[in-house]
Amino acid sequence: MHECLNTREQLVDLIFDELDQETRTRVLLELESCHDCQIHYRSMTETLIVVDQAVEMAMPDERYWPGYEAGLRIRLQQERPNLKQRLADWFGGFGILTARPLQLAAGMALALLAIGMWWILQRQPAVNLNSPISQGPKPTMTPQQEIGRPGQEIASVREPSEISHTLKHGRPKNAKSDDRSPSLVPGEKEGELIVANNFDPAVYDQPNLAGSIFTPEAIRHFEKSQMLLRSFRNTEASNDQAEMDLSYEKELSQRLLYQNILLRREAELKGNLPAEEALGDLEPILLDIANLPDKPSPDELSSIKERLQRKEMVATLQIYSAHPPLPTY
Amino acid sequence: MAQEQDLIERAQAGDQDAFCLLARSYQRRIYALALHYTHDPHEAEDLSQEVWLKAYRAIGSYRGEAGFYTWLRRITINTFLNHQRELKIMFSSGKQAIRMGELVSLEDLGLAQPEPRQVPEERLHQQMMVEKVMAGLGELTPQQRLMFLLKHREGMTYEEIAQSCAVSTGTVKKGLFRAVSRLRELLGVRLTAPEDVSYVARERHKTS
Repeated sequence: MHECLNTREQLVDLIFDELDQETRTRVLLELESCHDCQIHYRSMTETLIVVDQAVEMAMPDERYWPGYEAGLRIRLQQERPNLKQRLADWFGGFGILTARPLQLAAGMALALLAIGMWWILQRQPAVNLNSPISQGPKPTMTPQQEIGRPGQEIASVREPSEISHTLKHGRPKNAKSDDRSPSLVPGEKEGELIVANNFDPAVYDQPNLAGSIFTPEAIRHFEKSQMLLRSFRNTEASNDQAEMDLSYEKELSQRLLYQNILLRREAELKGNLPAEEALGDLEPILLDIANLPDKPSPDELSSIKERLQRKEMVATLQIYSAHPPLPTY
Repeated sequence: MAQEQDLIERAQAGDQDAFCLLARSYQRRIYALALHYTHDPHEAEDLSQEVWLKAYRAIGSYRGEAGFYTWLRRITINTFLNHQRELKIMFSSGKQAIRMGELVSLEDLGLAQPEPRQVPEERLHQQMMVEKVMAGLGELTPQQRLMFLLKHREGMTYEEIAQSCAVSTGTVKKGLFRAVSRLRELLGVRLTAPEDVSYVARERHKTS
């Protein structure tokens, strides 16, 4: 039974050749049998012909295309090359960038990963606190060098007899009355005395990491600061005695503070972040010591000492200054 | 074909001349699609050149898995679909095309106004027909228009169109039915007498 509506719905499929052979034959037979459907079908096909003719007529003639191409050329010239092309140009047209971008990216990522792992492995021994430095009474590499004015001996190499004298009296026997050499640190008590004259560079097996990060001036600065802080920390031993005279430590701290500021600014300008951070951590401690009264109260001392301990400042400075003393020192 | 491959490789290396030669092979076809779609010669020019710019930007990603024209047609469809979505204001004033955020004089670009082919004695009739058809195409929705030209001009299957336009096959079928029916109404192509032939017999003759 022929249904015009059903047939007409299939006319578009018939026109666009989207019917299977069986349906196609059936629809064609129905068209032949229905006058209205046939007229409808023909008007549809004629419509498409008219559309095609109109579009064909609207198409510009051959004179138009050179201008079209010229316009396209101008637009292309205005077009900025894409990143890949710019990279390829930059590398002199290196084909792999355009031909194998993923493989290249993966290769670069692997290379970066390998470098990163190598760096971490290289870095680990340098910060290992199980080195001879922290292992009991072994000799320290702390350089017992001048930290005060040039030519002034602050912590000279001491004879064993001097050491025993120091243990008893807190000051070397040949020290002048105005020689304010740093006192002993708590760790230096009795058997734990850090024997400076036993310092042997051979046992100092840390890689010279500090030397690669800090300038020689900064390393010397850390050494001096370390000595100052040790001296300051050691005041605890004589805390119960009469009021401490810290005028020397204050003066030294002030000088180190100025140097610290200069070094920190230099590190900042150079973009040396590790040095900037290290110097930045040290600065408030130096400032606090420099601002202490000449005869500070135990409370004033203990607050600074607590911070020193909490921040492990002496140990940190020891690592930072882990560098063989320079001959010019 | 080998020449086209050579042009593609050169264009991928940034050779604009090679790309222009490549474009020359397909520019009429792309322009015709754009003309169908925009039903305006100026806009068709603008849109077809946008297709070429996009193709130029993307040619580095062409791997030759599909034919070059298939790849180009995909870019064309995407450009048309984006064109649908874009907030676009076009004022036509002489030969000046003004688009939001962009001021491009067609004359500055060396583009002459497209001039349709003209046969003197039929000039008026043809102009009327072209205007009528363009107005008819303008009456369709952008989606119907796109489906119509992909089917009628490009001969794509319902499935391919559905995939390109991210719609179902049923939507494509309905869209085409409405597009053709609407054009038939608008263009007023009506016949009173049926064809005096047997469609089935003609079909058989065609296949034999």
